[in-house]
Amino acid sequence: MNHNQSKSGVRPAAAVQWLLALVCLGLAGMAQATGVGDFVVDSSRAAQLENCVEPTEYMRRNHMEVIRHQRDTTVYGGIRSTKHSLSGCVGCHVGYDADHKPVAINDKGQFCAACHNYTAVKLNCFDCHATIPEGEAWNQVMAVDHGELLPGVEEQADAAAAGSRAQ
Amino acid sequence: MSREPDRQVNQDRRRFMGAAAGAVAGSAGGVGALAVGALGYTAADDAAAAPRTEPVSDRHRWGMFVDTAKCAEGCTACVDACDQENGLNLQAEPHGSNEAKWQNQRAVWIRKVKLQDKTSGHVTNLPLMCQHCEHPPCVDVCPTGASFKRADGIVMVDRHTCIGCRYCMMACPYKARSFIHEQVDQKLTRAPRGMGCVESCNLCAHRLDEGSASTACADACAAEGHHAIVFGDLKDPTSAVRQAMAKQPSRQIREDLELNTGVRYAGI
Repeated sequence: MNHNQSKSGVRPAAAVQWLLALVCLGLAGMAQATGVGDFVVDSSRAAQLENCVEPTEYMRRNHMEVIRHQRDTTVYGGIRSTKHSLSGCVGCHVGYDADHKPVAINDKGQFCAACHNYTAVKLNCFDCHATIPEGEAWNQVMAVDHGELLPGVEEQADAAAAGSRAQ
Repeated sequence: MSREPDRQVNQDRRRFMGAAAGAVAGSAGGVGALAVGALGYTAADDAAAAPRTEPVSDRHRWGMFVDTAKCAEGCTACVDACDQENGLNLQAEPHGSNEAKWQNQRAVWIRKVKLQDKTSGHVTNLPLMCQHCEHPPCVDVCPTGASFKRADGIVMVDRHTCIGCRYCMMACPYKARSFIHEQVDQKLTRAPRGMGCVESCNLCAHRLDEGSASTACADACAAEGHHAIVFGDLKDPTSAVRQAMAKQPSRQIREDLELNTGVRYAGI
């Protein structure tokens, strides 16, 4: 319909209105994208915190790298209490329903699924890993509670390198 | 006693296989070893009831001692406790599967085995799980390096690199490994489980990593009053497991394979 109008030569006032409508549409689109990027579930523990274990911008781009480092440390080194544990992600970001029951983190609209669906990136963490905090071993959330939180793998490596340089 | 040359276990061949598997792993999943190595080994990791802060080291070797004389017939306390601890009880039978097939295919980490001497009729019961070999055949054959031995002697599967070929299941002389055939809906955080991967007893590694030196099976056996399973550090002469082993003769199952298993049995 818009196409027909522009073809038939509309009055200047109408053209301005049409332009305004377009701008509004564009703004709405941007707002939606921002909303997806900010998707921390309101009922989750994470919603009460200032930011994630790293600055939000860093986590948005690098969370997969961070988790992958942690996974090798855990599987081969048996270290489960660094701040980058996947079980810590789930413990903090899982949402709760009206009955205070945890909702699977990869369910539609939940923390992981919201962005991964939006960006069409398949995630297969939860083919094997638990989607709700249940039967946890030591993880990031518990480590915080006990004041035993370890820095991330890369930070530890950096610290070790700095230490050896100092000697 | 000298052995026939062709019956002798060729450790050189095993070492070669291990190196070959390591080379493959280097291209596939070697990042882990590097990342862990970068952390450096410094202070002791002995602190009890605290999470591990240093990577596991070979200063410990975890193992078990099973006194078959104390293992009661019909008792499945260890198996049930293992199921609970490692979420094996959460496995659901696939829709339309037949019961016998399911019982054969579902993952189990401990099997109760009953032996009967044909001549005397004497019955021996024992729990059989991953024997946590020093030279594990499952690690030798793994094409991706997913099957590995942790520095503290625990043989486990890195399911991030497991491709589900089941070669390790063929290689294991103890039938200790299970394959997950179907997507598992319910999982425990401490025991991830997914379709297409092999898994087996990991001596409750999550407990050890939290600083508690116990396994669900040993605890359950003690709670039943049998005390047939003793868990501990094989390298520590003062540990409960070494104390128990010092008191009576124990054997490895299939000791002819010279795998130096971490699980030893008395009375077989």
